[in-house]
Amino acid sequence: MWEKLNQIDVRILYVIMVILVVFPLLKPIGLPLPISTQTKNSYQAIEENIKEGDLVFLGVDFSPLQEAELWPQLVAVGGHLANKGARIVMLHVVPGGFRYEGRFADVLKSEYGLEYGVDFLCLPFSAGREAAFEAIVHDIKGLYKVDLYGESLTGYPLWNEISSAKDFKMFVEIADAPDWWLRPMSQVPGLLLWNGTVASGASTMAPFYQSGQMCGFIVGMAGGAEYEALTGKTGLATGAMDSQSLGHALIILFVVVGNLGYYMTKRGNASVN
Amino acid sequence: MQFLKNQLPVVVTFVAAVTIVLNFYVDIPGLETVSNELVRWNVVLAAFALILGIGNIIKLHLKKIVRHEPDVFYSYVTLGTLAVFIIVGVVDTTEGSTYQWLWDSILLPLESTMYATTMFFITSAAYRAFRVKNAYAAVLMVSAILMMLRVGIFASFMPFTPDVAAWIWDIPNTAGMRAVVVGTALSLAGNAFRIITGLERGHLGGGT
Amino acid sequence: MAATLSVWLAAFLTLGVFSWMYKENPWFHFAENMYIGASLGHLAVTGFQNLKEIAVGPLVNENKYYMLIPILLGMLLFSRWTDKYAWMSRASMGFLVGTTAAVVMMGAIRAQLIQQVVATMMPLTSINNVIFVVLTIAATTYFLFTMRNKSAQKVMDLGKYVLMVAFGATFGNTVMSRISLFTGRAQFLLFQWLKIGQ
Repeated sequence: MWEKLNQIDVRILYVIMVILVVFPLLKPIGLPLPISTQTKNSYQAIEENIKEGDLVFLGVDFSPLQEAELWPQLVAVGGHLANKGARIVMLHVVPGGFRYEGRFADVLKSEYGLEYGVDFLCLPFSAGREAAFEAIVHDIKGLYKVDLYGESLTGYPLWNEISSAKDFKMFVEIADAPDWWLRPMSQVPGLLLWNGTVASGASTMAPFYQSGQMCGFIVGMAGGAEYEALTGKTGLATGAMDSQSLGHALIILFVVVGNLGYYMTKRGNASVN
Repeated sequence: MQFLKNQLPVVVTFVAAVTIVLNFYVDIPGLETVSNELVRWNVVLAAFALILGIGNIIKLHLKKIVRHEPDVFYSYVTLGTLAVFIIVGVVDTTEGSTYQWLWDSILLPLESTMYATTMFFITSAAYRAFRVKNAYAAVLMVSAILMMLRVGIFASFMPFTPDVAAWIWDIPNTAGMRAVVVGTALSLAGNAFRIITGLERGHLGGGT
Repeated sequence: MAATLSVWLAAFLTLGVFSWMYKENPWFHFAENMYIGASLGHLAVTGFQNLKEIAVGPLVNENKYYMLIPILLGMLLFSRWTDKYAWMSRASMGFLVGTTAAVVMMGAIRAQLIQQVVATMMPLTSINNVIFVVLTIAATTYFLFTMRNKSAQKVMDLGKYVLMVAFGATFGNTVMSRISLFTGRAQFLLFQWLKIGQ
């Protein structure tokens, strides 16, 4: 029996996984969602530090590869900033980020009633990743001349109020887990750093949160769902958490059964010999 | 000629890098302006580098087409899609509705689905490949399972699991990753030093 | 009409990629090659737009003639496409990598090395702090590859276990990440294409 289990066609495993992940999307189970202390503290970091009129950078640095995990985070955290009355300057240094910046701009206008050019701005793509952030830190007005839509930035009241990166209160970066943004941005005195990232790369950023270099840090789709619960606006992430739970349960089961099968087969072969 | 091929690139690397590094430590009038300008030039060159890789792909697929290799149809698909995106992007820009339609209909689903297939690999790996053969593997697997237990279904009948997972995340995981981060920092700084001083020249490429 | 066509095209390509999980087939290869073309096309367009804004724009509109230097250096990068003139790109590559190395080096030393070490020097007033400092030192000791010290061997072994815990946590999170990605595509296929659920 164990040998048969060991040699099972992987496509059967795929089908089981797909069924378990898809079923809760059609019939939500409503499993409890524990909110971690880390997410609560990250929420409080924005709640306590951001006042009406504060300038906030919002880095939209993800591509479709990370959309499922990071788009819900962007909507939840960006919405929180909008509700706090922050003036948001969005930017991206990842080629795919332009579309999410544009989509979130539409959300800010339609759901939060913000006015483009006064309450928020969208900056265009800048190549070079870390070098682009370095340029933002030292000379943001020299780096950007036009906005995401190709219009001159000098026509916007919000841009004319900014002289440098030092005018900003917080830098919220929604990105796949790089430290390349943190290295340059940590140079700006008094700038609070806040990060939302994918689960697979979160371990690399954990030391920066523990050291106090970042004041906020949420992880993956679970982090997005927890943040949605805290802001009171459920979205895609909350709806997917049941799938997440069942998927995890199945992976744990596979690891246990796979190892059991391996050891039982090995023991069986040893006793035969 | 040999100077242009071999020594000049190293001199350019050194001068540009030292100007930026000096600006961090020394307050010389005008140095900050020059350093900021050099960083901006890096952004310009990075934009050119984005376009550079495309030439190699075009060469590869054109060779396949000229030689009538098998599966040449797929080369037409690649080059055709590339051409459509470039033409529409240049004419319409990335903020144009046509380009965004193309991006939403073609690139977004393809890119996100390519990565989504990794769920299947992890499923088969969990069953077939992850074997607890020694104490280190056992520790790794227990830690992984405890992290996976912190979501809904387990928290409902094992209420202590989120707290255990949080402790593992905050203490041993962060301690271990700090060591990795520090090691990475030393290695980055070391490699950067080698590049700046010309000890490392592999990045310059061929043509010597 | 355009929206409906967009959803159907996206669904066709999504299912094409997933079809590989059954077995390799022309549908998957079609989708795969389209992805290569589309992603490169997008890179080219964003690169071109970026150049227009940060190089050509200041040159033409603000008479910053010195921008001809990075533009020329950038164009020399394309000489790599030829064998005879590839050497002309070496200076450009040197500039690009050199400036990046300088920026990365400064950031790594300050944010990753110094601040991380400072953060480890925490008051040993709670059991968690004590455990944290001991485990960090043990894990860092593991990376001493050049000097093997027998008396430090036990510390290095503890460091190995700490790293295994960290990698296990990373694996657990990676599982979450991968399931999230598939869930995202499932949400698109169910809610937007087939219009069932939600």
